[in-house]
Parts: sequence; C-alpha cells; structure tokens
Amino acid sequence: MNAYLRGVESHLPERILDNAALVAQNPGWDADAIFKKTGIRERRIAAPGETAADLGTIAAERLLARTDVDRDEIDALLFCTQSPDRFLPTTACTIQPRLELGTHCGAFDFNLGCSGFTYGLWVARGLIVSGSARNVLLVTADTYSKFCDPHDLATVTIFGDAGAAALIGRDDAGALAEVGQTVVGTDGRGAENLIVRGGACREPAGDRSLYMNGPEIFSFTLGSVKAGIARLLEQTGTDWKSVDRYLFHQANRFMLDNLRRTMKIPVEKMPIDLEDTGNTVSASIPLLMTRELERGNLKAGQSCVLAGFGVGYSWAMSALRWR
Amino acid sequence: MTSQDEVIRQVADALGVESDEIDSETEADQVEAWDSMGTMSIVLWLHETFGIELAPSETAELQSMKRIFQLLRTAGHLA
Repeated sequence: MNAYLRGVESHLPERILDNAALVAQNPGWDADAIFKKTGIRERRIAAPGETAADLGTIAAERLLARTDVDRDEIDALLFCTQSPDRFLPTTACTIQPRLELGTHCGAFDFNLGCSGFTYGLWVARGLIVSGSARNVLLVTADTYSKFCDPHDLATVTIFGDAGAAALIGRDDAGALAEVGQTVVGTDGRGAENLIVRGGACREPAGDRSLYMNGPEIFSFTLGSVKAGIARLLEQTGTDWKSVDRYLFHQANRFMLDNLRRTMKIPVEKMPIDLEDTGNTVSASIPLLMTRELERGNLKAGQSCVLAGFGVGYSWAMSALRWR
Repeated sequence: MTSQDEVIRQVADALGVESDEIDSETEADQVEAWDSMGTMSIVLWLHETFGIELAPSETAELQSMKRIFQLLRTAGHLA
C-alpha cells in the first residue's frame, strides 16, 4: 500500500510585526541590517489568547473543506507543536471535537520544532502503509513569539507564528503527491543550543524565554542536512541532480543560501520564501508547499525532497513525487 | 597545511574586515564584525576550506585567533 498527500493548507495569524516595529522597541537596531542578515522583513504574530491549536485548527478546517474526505474516515490526528495549550490534556484531544472528527480517531501531540512536519510524514506514512489508518490528519503549528524576548535580536527577528495541516491517505484519487520514504536523525548533545529552559517540570521557575545559539545551530545544519539528504537519496536509489525541487525548512536566508551553495543545489530548485513570514518552525515546510502550489511551481511528475531540521537537535528528510 | 598569516587573512576575509584588523592575539570581542553572524561565517569557512564539522558546543572555540589556530593544529591543517 502507498501513502498519498491528499491536500495541504496553512494559516497565518493577522498581526504583522515588521522590522520597523522591532527597531522602535529596540533603539540601536537597524531594520535594513535585520533584513540583510535574516532575509525577513516581517513576521506574523498570534494574538494574546490565540494559540498554536487555533492556528492549526483553522488550517485543518480549510484543508477539510477543500478535500472531499469524509471526516469519519480520518483515523488519526497528529498534532506537532512546542506551544501546547496546556501540559495536559494532549492538545490534539481538544482539536478532535473542534474538527468534528470521530471518536474512533486516534489523537496525540508530538513535541518537535523545525523537523516536525517531515517527522509527521514519517509517522503518517507508516500508519497508512501498515494499514493502521485510512487517513491521517497531520497538523503542525507553533507560536514561538510567545517565548521570544522582545529585546533578543537572535530570536525575535527570526521567528513567526503559523499553522498548517496536511492530509495523508491511501486513496490516490486527486492526490497532490505520493509520499515516499523519510529518514530521521537526532543529536541531543545540541539540546542546550535552542531551548526554553523554564516553565516545565525540570526548572518550573526558570527562564521561559527562547534561547538560540545561532552559530551552533548553523554549524549543526552544515553537518546534518546534507548527510540526511544523502542518506535519503541512497535509500530511494536516486541522486542530487535527479531531484526537481528541494523544499527546506525556512530557517533564515543566511542559513538557506549557504546550505544551498555548499550542497551545489541550483537556485531555481530550492525556493527561499520567508520574507513576510519569518521562520515558522514546524509549519514552515507545509506553508512553503502551499505557496509554491499556488504559484504553480510544483508540477506533476516532479520529485521533491523535504528537509526539516532544528531544535533537539532533530532532523527528518522526506521524498515526495508530485502528481 | 596552511600558515598563521594565511589563516589570519582568511578569517578577516570571512568576517569582511581588512587583514590588518586581525592579528594572532585578536579576540572576538575586539572586532565588531566578529559577532554571532561573524562566528557563523567562520564556521562556514572552516567547513568549506578544511571540511571541519564542529561537534555541538565547539563554536565556543571560535572566539579568538589563538583558539582557531589550536583547532586547525588539532585537525592537522596548521603546523
């Protein structure tokens, strides 16, 4: 049995935080320098009280309205976030009735950041191919803005909020793509380099702002992303030149430009699209997919590699073929 | 195998500053361009020029010329 991507949608919150607003809050910062270093002019920010679950649910509703899937035929809801509504219950359980999914539907959260969407494809494909589920609704959403110190140049300039949803099923009628293999990887030695230390059980009274060591994260990506893609290509029996499109997690322009250059991927094969959204964590790959689909840049027959990488450290690379 | 002078020239190039702004005693906090982005540029230079892949937390070794020399010596690229 094969697994197919039956649809993908995304949602951005309304509020815009542009570089001029960041400079107004932080005298001494330079809006042009922020853009030059990050490739980001503005990012969308969830409103107070608006959570990742809300963003993901809106994206999922849009997806379900667009596809002809019977909600009773969705057997699993996977929700990836690092900004859950509460410690418990699992946020996915609260999304299930909002989406009017059946009570037979399995629902769980998984806590990953920028590797979350491709990790989710790994799990979803496994559920489909094994015959455990007819359709899997994969929702990825995050609101890192709620963790960002407004005066921390390393984080507040980078991250934006977003939600996304993808439907993976065994029915190929009208499907967007066939979902191929995923390779995953972990190096927890890097856990301290992208972290919110406080607020959970280990340090309940600790610092609840997001810390990112940019050089460490960049160093990690240089080593792991190319190796991960190489492993995927080896498993799928293909090579770098045969891939038509590389859809990377939209981290920041500096990182993506240099990853692209060091891997010798032609510019036209690897879109960079974060100028008006920022780094939207686990929503960034499906957000990029929806925008590239709208532009007509993902065509039938094209082979595609998705690459998610970041906090953990964690990474996952997936193969897709557009239909 | 490279020389200290060549390493200094290449680090200056990675940081986008003149070579005379860097010497063998320079530390990151003495050079404005040797900030977080500058350190990333040095990470990239090490990767592309010497194929060096740093382990987690090793970018802390890139905060002075002395430590960069030491890193390159350990990796066998500097006498």
